[in-house]
Amino acid sequence: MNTCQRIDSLVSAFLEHEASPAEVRFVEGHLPTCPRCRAQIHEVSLAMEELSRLPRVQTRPEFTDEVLVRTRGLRAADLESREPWALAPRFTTRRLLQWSVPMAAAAALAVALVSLQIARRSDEPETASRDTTTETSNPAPAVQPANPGSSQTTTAQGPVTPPEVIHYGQGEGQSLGMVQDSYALGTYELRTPREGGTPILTPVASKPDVPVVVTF
Amino acid sequence: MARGKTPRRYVRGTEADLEQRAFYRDLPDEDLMDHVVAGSEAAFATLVDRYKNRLQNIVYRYIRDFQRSEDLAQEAFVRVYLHRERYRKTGKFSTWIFTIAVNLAKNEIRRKVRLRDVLSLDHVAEMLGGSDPGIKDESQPAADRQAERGQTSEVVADAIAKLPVVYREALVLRDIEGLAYEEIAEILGIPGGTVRSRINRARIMLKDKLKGFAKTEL
Repeated sequence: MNTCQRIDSLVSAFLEHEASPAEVRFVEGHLPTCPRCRAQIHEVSLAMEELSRLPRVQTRPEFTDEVLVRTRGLRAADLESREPWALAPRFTTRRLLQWSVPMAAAAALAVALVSLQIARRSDEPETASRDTTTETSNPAPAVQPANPGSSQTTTAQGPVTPPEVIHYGQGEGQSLGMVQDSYALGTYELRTPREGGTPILTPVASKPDVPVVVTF
Repeated sequence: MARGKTPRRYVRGTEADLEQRAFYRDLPDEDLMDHVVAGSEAAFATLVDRYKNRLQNIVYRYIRDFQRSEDLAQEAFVRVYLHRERYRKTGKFSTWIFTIAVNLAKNEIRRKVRLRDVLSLDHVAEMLGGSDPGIKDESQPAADRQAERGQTSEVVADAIAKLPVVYREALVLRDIEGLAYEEIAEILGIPGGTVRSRINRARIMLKDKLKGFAKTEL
């Protein structure tokens, strides 16, 4: 860095009286011999003067009131955001447009699935009832009423028909039909006691909806 | 003042307003902020009144658009209000709000540059450190601008606007707003030595731009 460049770097500090004594001596020693640096310092000081004379921008009289209106809006929005319903998404036009295609696709898919299900059910009514029979008669697949006339009937009432009927030969429930310890019968459970003996029918729901008749 | 207390509706110009303003007038900024956080709108209005001209002036010198500089100055106050609880009294309020305003002004310049979809001669000049395309005075009709061009202040303002942003911001904060070097360093997030060298460089650049004019007028 030559002397003039160093003077350039010290111009502001020199003019603002922030230069160190050594720097001041350096500048003052150079200026008498260098017209270029004298002009430089003079012109920068004039420019600084002009800057200080620049007119200041004045805000409009409504400025403060307008700011207050905006902050009141913020405060209202802040209070509103504390209400639980404010958490729900707002259905603005933009949001609706944004979600319209996926929502339409989802609706079409749902309609198609429901239609398919209805069509299947109407095609196979017998299969459905057979499935029910299989399920409910499962506990005693090989059991036939040994003596219907002497049988004891336990009835659990319920609102749905037709009743499911499970027959056990008297005293033969465990050996003939109960290949498992227990069977689920809709809202009932048929369970063989641990100590053996007659299977017990127990409701497993507060409102039994399948009437079950068990004959021993 | 208890936090969460429902503030009384503040209406400017009323007797109650005059009372409150008299109370707040002599409070330092940092204490006023305490009242703002506690919900006092009158304290906030006092701060707005105290800083509105300086803020708009700074922003205006950045972007040279009166209308937009007013919008941004208002935006700065709104942000102060929005983030009032984040303010820490360890720092000066003026530094905080000037930082917000300077950042808004810089963003505005960037936004305007981004909006340019054609690389114009102005843009080339900007890239080379010349005039900033985002700081033309759009609020004044061209005829008015032409009429004012002969005035010294307008020439100086034009010359400032033609400085590259990093020099312009340092110059505005120091020579127009009269802030201390340390405060400028904090606002701009740069070391104090860099601030000093930028301001020195900015003054020399400004002097060069004014040279032709200075020969006849200064």
